[in-house]
Amino acid sequence: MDEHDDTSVNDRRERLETLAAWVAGELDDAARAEAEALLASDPEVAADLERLTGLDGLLAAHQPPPPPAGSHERLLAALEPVIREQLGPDPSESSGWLRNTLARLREAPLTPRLAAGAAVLVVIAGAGIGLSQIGQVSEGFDDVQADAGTVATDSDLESAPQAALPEAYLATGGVYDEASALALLGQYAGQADRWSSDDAGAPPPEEPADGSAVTSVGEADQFAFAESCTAKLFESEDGVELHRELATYKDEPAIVTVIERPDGDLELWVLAQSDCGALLFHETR
Amino acid sequence: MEGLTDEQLLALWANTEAARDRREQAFRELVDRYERRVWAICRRIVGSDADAEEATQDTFIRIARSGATFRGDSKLSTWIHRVATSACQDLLRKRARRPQTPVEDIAMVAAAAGLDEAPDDSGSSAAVDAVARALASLDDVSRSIVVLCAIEGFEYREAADALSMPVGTVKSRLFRARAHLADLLADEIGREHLGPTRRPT
Repeated sequence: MDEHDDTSVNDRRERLETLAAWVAGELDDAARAEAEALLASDPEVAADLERLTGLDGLLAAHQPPPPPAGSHERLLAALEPVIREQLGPDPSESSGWLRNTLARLREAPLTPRLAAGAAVLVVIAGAGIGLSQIGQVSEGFDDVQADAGTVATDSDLESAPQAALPEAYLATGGVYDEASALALLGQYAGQADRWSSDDAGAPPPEEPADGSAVTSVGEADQFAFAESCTAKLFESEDGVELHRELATYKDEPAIVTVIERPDGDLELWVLAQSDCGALLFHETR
Repeated sequence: MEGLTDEQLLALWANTEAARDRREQAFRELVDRYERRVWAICRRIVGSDADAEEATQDTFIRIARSGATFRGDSKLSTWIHRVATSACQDLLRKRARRPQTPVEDIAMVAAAAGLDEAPDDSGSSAAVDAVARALASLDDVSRSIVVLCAIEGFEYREAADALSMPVGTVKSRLFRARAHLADLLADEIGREHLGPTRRPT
């Protein structure tokens, strides 16, 4: 493009810009009179005006392509944690949340993370009420996996999400009921008498605990439960896990965890196997 | 939920005293009602499916978190479009993949972008391709102004609020962008509206 063309293009665009302002009624009196005189006398200016008025129709006809396949589902998935976050913790729905999560997970393919989680779960399910035999393990998650070594393969352990593990105090073998769970929460709060119970209403085992509930748990449930725990505990970015324990709750295998939220709230979760239920004790500060 | 207005749905979502399931239903209904519109505005502004999807998600996340801040001084649809525009601007800034070229240099940009290159996947007809390329050749802010004012029907003030800039700036950039688009798209406009014999030589 030579200099003459540049000048020509610039002149034309300047003229179009003036016309655009004229169409919008944004010119002052003098500029408007000048533009209208040009429009009346110069057919090229009149043609520019038609281009401008035709532009809107062309733009309006420019429909973007439809969203790609799966975008609606990805949108809902992205919104799910935000909806939960905005609704806030609700013990009465936590069982349902877990159950829904498990239902989805049952349809999902197993992942390396799942295999690692399953190793933990097998400790629970396999040991059953004999969890206390595992003894205290405080050095780290690996020790628990080592106890489950007859189940977890080396490749399982190598693929375990080590980097995602929080610096949690990890113990095993505690035996809890509502009162002792509250007492545990109180230990972390240092103010045990202030803690209240928001029992999520996970149904207690109908049968007296004799281990039968443990052996009746299917492999799919074990995997699903382990994955739900993994997702809940290891991938949480909105809290610090202070305590995790493979335990029994009301004679039922469970994972007991204490999470401190950024706002200082403490939550004690009991992820029990029966009905994939969850109990939540919390204190809002 | 079908009988509720958009504004009532958002109010219900933001009402922490309301039943949780009703709040959630209200928000999901809002998503259903606006997903396509938000997608369209984001797709026009950011110019690619992947970025439009991210901006759409970000828009609804912002709506979920800031629903209580909607004061009703504009239509909810306007507010949502404003949120979408803001999400797009933030994404574009984050990406910083296009130079923030002043529209005065648009001829250079258009040449560099190669207006005869294959367009994105926004359509098949020559006119649609040309419009997509012309919009893509605008700088991000000018393109956003064109989308809001010339396509979505925003008032200057609404666009200025959405883009956090003075009304006068919106007007001047819009007129300049329209001039450049009309010039770039003269052939297409000629075919659509003027006929080939009216095209300047």
